[in-house]
Amino acid sequence: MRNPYAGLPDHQFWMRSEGIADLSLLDPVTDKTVQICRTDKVVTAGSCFAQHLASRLRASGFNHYITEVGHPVIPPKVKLQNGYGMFAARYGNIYTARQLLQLLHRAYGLFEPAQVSWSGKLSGRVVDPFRPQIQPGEFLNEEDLYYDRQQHFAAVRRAVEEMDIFIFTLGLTEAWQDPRDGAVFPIAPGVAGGRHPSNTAEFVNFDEEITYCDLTNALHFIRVRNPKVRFIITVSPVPLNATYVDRHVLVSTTWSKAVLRVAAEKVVRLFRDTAYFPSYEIITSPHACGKYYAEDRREVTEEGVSHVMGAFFRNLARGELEADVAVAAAPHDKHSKEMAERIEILCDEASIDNR
Amino acid sequence: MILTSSGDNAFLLASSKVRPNLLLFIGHSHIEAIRTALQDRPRAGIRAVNLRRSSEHSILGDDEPRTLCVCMGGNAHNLLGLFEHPQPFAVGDHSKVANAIEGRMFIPHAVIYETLAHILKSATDEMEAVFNRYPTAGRYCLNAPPPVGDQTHILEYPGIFRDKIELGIGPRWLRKALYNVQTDVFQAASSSCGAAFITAPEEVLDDEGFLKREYCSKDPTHGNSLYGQAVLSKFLSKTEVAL
Repeated sequence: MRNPYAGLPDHQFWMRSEGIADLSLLDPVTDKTVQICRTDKVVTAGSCFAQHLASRLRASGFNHYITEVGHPVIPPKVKLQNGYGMFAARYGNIYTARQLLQLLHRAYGLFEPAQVSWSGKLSGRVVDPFRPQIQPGEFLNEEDLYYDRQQHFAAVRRAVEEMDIFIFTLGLTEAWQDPRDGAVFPIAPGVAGGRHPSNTAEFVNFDEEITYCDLTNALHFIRVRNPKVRFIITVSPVPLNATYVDRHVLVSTTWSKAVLRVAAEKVVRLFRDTAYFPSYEIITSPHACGKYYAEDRREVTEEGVSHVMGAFFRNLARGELEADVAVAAAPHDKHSKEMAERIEILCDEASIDNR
Repeated sequence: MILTSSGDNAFLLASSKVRPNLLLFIGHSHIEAIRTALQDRPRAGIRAVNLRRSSEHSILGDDEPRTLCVCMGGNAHNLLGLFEHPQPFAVGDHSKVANAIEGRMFIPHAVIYETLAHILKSATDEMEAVFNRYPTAGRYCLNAPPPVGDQTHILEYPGIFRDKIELGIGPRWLRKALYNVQTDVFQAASSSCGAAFITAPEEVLDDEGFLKREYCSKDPTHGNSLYGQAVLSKFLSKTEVAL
């Protein structure tokens, strides 16, 4: 008599799935409905693991879409130090679904948090409470921050309306919010990027229902403005750095990742052209025996990222891996180069007439 | 001893002997204003050396100065702002920019500061190397002259930038803001070297802090002999260096 499992694919059976004997064969990707080609404008956002995805996409010649590129006079090194090109716009890490939703609302003028700035660590300077680490030199004053923020929001709107693929990596459930209006900060006040009185922010730990609602609202908000966009949802395998809940950080990590994983699953079922990509599962799998974590047992190793992205490209970019597509060169500031050469010549001239 | 400079401008310093009364101005093109001022009105005990003039490399090091005033580089603000960039930009500044940002890409103050610091790194490194070469000398850092205020002067003497005129001269507020940021970069570098920072004399500035036309060289970026005289006078009165 046949049982209900008879005839199901091998990947649904632990012992028949590949990767037990040879880790490199572990490939848990079965949902391949969202496919990426190199010309697709891919926008990434999320926790720090999203940065790995973004950099590997760029390195592989995919169109990691950047709408806040920074002016060409800014040297690449300075751009990198100031968060240009890390993600589509300079929003920095987005750890929670609530933070993503609020960023969208802020960019479209639907939410204006009461907290405009935090005082910086540098004398007289301010930081953006919603991306406190985006600029090591901080902002000169609130006016400097205001103009940059307006430009940033315009870049967010462009990303929302022009992207083909949105990859969002859920990272955390624990957050700090302003009790006045619920504005969520990416990092607890005072941890990084500025000082803030502790009584003006309160701890919150979003559960699976709230996370699901926030993520649903965020993706719906995007889809309304960009009906063609396809979504890929992932969960960061990076454990919590710290928990504010009075329990072991490992226990809080497990709770948070479970919440995020459930929310991701429910959202994927709700939206068309939306897939879950199992980066969390690859890194944390028993097959890997922890070897995809660095010595601190938190950071993901390059080898682990390579495994994840190998599975990503193999399954979601079929037909693109062998394609010979030139990677677009970084924009070159011809004007500044010409000016520099001429100033060099002018300043070198022995015939300068100073009279 | 070899001191590195930008490009091929490494220069050789022979073994030196102390010359207690020597005040040495040393740097790049902005030193020309002082050099020509000294040619017009020679002053005992003061020498000005433009390291970009290869013929002067060899005279360095004969005497070790008692006082050293360095002015390296200093045209980065002109590089970015003398003429309008094809992709116009605005920068964060202490002054209000509300009316100017329309149609321009905004660069926050900290980012433009790091940009100018990056462009000026070879100059500030060279400044440090020169100070280290003369460890016992009194240390001063002379700021570059402010941007030329009179647009007709720039149009009359565009020199090598003639084909850039069609882009339009950079707006005054932007040129001034870029100069202010560059000044901050040099001031920080000067401070880290333990040098006193000398700014342009008041009399050479117009109401908005630009270089008056009578102090401009026949190009869009440098001061002339008169500017050099004014700088020398301010330096000597401020520092009371004994010559």
